[in-house]
Amino acid sequence: MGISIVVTSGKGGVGKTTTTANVSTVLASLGKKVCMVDLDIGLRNLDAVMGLTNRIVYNIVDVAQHRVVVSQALVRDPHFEDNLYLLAASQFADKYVLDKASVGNIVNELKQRFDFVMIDCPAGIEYGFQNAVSIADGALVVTNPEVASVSDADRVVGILENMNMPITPHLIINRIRKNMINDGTSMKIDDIVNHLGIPLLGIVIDEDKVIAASNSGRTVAFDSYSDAGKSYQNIARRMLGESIPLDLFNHTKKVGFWGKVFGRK
Amino acid sequence: MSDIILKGDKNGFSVIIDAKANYDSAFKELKELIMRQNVKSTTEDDDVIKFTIKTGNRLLNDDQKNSIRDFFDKFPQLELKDIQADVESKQKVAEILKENKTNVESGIVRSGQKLDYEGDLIFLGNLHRDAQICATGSVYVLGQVNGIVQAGYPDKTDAVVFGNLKDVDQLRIADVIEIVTDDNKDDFQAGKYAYIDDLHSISVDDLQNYKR
Repeated sequence: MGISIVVTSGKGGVGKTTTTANVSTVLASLGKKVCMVDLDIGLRNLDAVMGLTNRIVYNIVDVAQHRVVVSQALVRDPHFEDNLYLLAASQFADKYVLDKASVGNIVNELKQRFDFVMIDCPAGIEYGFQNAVSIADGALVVTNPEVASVSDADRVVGILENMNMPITPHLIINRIRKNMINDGTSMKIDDIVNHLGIPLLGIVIDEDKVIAASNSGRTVAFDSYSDAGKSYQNIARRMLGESIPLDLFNHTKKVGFWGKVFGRK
Repeated sequence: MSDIILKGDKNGFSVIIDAKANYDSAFKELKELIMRQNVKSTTEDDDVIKFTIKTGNRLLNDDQKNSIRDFFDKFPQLELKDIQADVESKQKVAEILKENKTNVESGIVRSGQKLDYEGDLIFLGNLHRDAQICATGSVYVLGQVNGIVQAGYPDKTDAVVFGNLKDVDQLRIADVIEIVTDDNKDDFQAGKYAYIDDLHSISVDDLQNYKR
C-alpha cells in the first residue's frame, strides 16, 4: 500500500505542477511506482508539463462518474517503462462534480497499486483544495522566497496542521533567485523555514531551463547540467529516506585584491 | 426555634432566613412577621422602613425572589432593598473563574487562524502575520508576534498588553485599535506595557509603573 502526497501552496504560480512533475519523474526513475493525479479541474496543465496531453482519453471526472474504471483512465508515461502514470484532470467539467468521497475512493484505489500517489492541488484554499488535501497522507508545501507566497503557505500549513495528516507537511522553497540571494535582497531561506516551522525538504533555484524543459514536455530533473534538476533529484531521494545535505549555496562574496587588503572582517 | 431572625442595623432591617429551614414555612413565617408589625398606613411618606433579606447558604430561584418582592410591594411603607445570599450558582461561579483564569498558550498561530481566550493570556508562541489572538483579559506576550493582539475583548478597558509589541500589526484593547507602524513601533518594546489612558486611547508606560 502506497502513500498519497499532495503538492500544494495556496498561492498560484509558485511551481506546484512543476514540482509534482519533477518529483514524480525522479521517483519513477528510482524504481518506484508513481501515479500523478491532477486535481486542478478546468485548468489542468500537469499533462502539458509532462508532454502527455495527446495521450489523454479519459480523465478523473470520467472515473468519478463511473463511466470508466481507474485503470482505463490512467495515462502511462512511455519514458519511464511501467513506473509512471498520470490521471488527468478534466478540462471541460465543472469542478463541483468531484467531492471528497469520490476523490478519496479514487486515491485509495490508486494507493493499492502505486508506491506514491502525487496529487497536484489547485491554487487557493477553496473547494478543489479541500478535496485534494482531505485524502492526502502527507503534503509538500511549495513556496517562493517572497512575502505573498510565504504568507499563503503559512495559511495552508495552518489548515494542514489542523487536519492531522499521518505525515507532517514538508516545505519546498522554489524559484530562488541566486542573484538576489547573493545581493542579500531576497528573503532568507533560514527565515522562511523558521517562520513556517515545518521541515524543509529542499530548495530549488529559479532557472530558465525549468521552463524550457516544461515547454518541451520533459522534466528538468534529468538535465544533468541543471542545478534545479539536481535539487529535484535530491528532494525525491530525501523523500525515500536518503540523507542528502542541503545545498544552501552559502555563497561567499568574491573579494578582490583591494578588498583583501582593506576588507572588513 | 424560629426559621427567621429579624435584625436591625444602621441600614434598616435584615431578615435572615435559616438556610437549613424549609423555605415554604420560612416564607410563611416571614409573612406573619411582617403582618405582625401591624404597619399602619401612615401619612408620613418619608418614614419608609428598609429591609434586606439574607438567605445565607441558600440560593433563591427567581420565582421565590419574585414572591418575596410581590409580598413587600403590598406594603407601601416597607421597602425591600435587596435579597442577598452568601453563595452563587455553580454556573455563575464557573463564569467568574473563567473570567479570572490565566491561559498559557505556545506554538505557532498561523495566517488566517484566530485563538480566543476567556481571561488573561500568557502567550509564549509565535503569532504570524494575518493571525490573531484575542483574550477577554490582559495579554502577556513573550514570543515573536506579528499579527493582531486583542486584549480586553469586547469592552474591558482596564485590560493591558505586556511584552515586545513592536512587530505587531495591530494592538487592540477593548474597542481601541492602535495600528503599529514604523513611526510608532519604537514605543512598543519589551519592558513596556500598553493600556487605555484617560483619553480612551492606547498609551505605553514602563512596566514598573504598572498598577493593577
